[in-house]
Amino acid sequence: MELGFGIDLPTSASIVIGIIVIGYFFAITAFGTYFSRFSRDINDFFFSGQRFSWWLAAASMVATGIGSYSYLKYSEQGFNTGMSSTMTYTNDWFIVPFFMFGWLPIIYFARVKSIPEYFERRFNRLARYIAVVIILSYMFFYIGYNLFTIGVALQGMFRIPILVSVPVVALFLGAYVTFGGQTAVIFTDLFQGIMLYVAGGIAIFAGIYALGGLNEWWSWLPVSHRLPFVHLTENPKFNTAGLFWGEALAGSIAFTFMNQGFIMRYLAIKSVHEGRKAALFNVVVTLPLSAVVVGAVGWIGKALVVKQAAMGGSLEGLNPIHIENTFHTFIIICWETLHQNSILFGFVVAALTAALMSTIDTLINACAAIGIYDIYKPLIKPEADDKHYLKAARWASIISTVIGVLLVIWFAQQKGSLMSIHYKGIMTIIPSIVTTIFLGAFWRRFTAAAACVSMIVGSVFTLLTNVFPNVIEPLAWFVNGPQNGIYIYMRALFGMVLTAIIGIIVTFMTSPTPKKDIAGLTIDTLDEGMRLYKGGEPNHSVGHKVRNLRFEIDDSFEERRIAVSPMIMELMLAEVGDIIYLSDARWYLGGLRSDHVKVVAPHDREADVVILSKATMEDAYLLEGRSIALEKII
Amino acid sequence: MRFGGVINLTKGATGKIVRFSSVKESDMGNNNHTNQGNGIHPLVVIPLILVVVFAFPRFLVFKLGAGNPWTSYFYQYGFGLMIFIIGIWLILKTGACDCERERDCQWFIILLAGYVFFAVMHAAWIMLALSVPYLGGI
Repeated sequence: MELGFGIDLPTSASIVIGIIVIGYFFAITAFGTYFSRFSRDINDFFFSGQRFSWWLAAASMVATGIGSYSYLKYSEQGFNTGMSSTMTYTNDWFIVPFFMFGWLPIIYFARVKSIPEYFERRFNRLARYIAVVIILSYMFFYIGYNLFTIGVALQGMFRIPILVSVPVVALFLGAYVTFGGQTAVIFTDLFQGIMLYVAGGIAIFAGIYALGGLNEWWSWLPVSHRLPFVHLTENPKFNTAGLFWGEALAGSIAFTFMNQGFIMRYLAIKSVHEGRKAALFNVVVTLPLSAVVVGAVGWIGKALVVKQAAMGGSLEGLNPIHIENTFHTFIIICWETLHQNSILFGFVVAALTAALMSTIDTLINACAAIGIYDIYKPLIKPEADDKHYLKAARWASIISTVIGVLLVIWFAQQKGSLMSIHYKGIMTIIPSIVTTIFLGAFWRRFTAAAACVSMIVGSVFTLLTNVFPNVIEPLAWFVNGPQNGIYIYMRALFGMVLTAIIGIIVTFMTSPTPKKDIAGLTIDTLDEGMRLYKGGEPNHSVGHKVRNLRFEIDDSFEERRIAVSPMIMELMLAEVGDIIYLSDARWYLGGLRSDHVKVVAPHDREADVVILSKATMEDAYLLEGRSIALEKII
Repeated sequence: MRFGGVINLTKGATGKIVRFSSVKESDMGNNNHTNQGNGIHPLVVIPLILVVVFAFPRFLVFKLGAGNPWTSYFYQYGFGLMIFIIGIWLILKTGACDCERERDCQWFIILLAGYVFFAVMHAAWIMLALSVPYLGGI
């Protein structure tokens, strides 16, 4: 891996940038650790108790979706192939129906804590542990990869060895994830998402300004670089056909359906309806905007280099720009277009670290969730109190961080570009489990034996394609993809097709699972899932949210039960036994002080009074004297 | 009366019972639906899909050429439409999306609008890319 990043930082600039980055580390760690007070049990620690508003979860997904590698990788891609670098961020809509009306309600109403847990309930215990191995491989790969990327960047700029910088970075982010849990992750990611966009905005504005405005940028950008799509098959490492099957299909399903970090974010939202809003916002707003933020510096760099060549020398007010290694595009263009201003550049570098922290904190929390719910609780200590599991969850976070750090040693020994390491790994790991999730959720006939056999055989054969890549060629030919021995994305399609064929064959050779055993776990049994979730018949009528209510304590009430006036019942269109979302009336808290409760028979006190027990008030973190809001969920 | 909004209670509002006579039957928890199959056998559908997967990109390349930006566009949105339609068909067939439920109906419209939004956005983008002259030579 080449060092230096194509810029020569003066010592004074290095010190300024270093102070900004370290200051940022301390600030975000303190901010995240503050939220440890909102994690009383492991449900809070991992899922924040299904309480948050869609916008809070959606905003925090911004930072989760952008890794530290994103700026470097997509700026390089943007420089080489132009605006087609946005393809991987704007091709997710095709699978949205499956997610919004299938996978999201299934896992939400089934109260699934982890994807492997779904595998046990839907199939059997063996399937669960095969899934644990694959999903942990996927997530640890991402943790190690992100840590490695930031290590490469810090080594390039400050000459700090990777094996020194990575453990220090891991120490900071491990601290707040360990103590703050999911609530800390959500709130720090919200803050870091803003940071990412602001820093990206500064870099883009400086670049466009250096070029002389938007019109200049567009006019100097080659036509091939303006297009949103790359050639269908020409470049084996980046082509439309491969990206569709490998990225839009396999990659998007993996990121949306089996990335435990994202799944936990959805499970932290107060309702399926709000989860759909978060998904909509994520696909329509966050992802396209993120594609611009991480790739635009590459597009600007290309226009700058073209204009510079046409003018016969450096542009006014800028040093000559030479990009020998395109992996350095982001750093070189930012440094030069910010006129080597170390404070602004330090802010941009802090954004790189923000991208790292916000992606890894989610993954560490997710790995810890699998460690507790799928390994520690069922296999090691099934009967223990919540306090014990909370302590174990914090240890699991520490262990996950350490494993991620250890993986950096392995990454440091790999050859090839960061992007090829990334996609080669991901496209090998995901196909079998993605297909199994899909068949399991959307085809009730799919059996446990078929799931186990297809996951094992699918994974093994996909892995073997790294040794015998030519077996992918017939499939690549069939879908008119590139046929040249380099099958980065087509490997995923191969794995998916193979897994599906094996799964279907074994399914028809084995007896189907009785419908009652998988109620609520497949798309055609969702109504049953809703009944189980509620403990009664779902109420789908859409009532009003009611704000500015007072609450009175009555300890004769059961925990998580409330009574409201007949008027409020009517406004919410609620019936006795319905699940109600009880929250502090201040919307901007995003549900930090809230809980789900059940409504009992209406009281005859004043119309704006809600009666609840002290325990319910404490569970919802409500504050005395503050008005509350109610909303019927189901 | 339109539902789904927010009511801010004030002192003056307490004690006043509001009647909502316009609540539709479908809003009142009527979530019964049936899984109506359309009778198309998988042994017909699967070969049909395979034929489309094989023939569609070849048709595009034959008509437009592999390097044409519209070839990539139609490849993505053609196959994307196929996946999308399978998803829509599945959620309707299984009753996961029940248009008799007010919210399901809204989300269904959003799903369709989302596909159109991305398809139109990318088409407009290609046209804009091709229409403005490039200053850097060939």
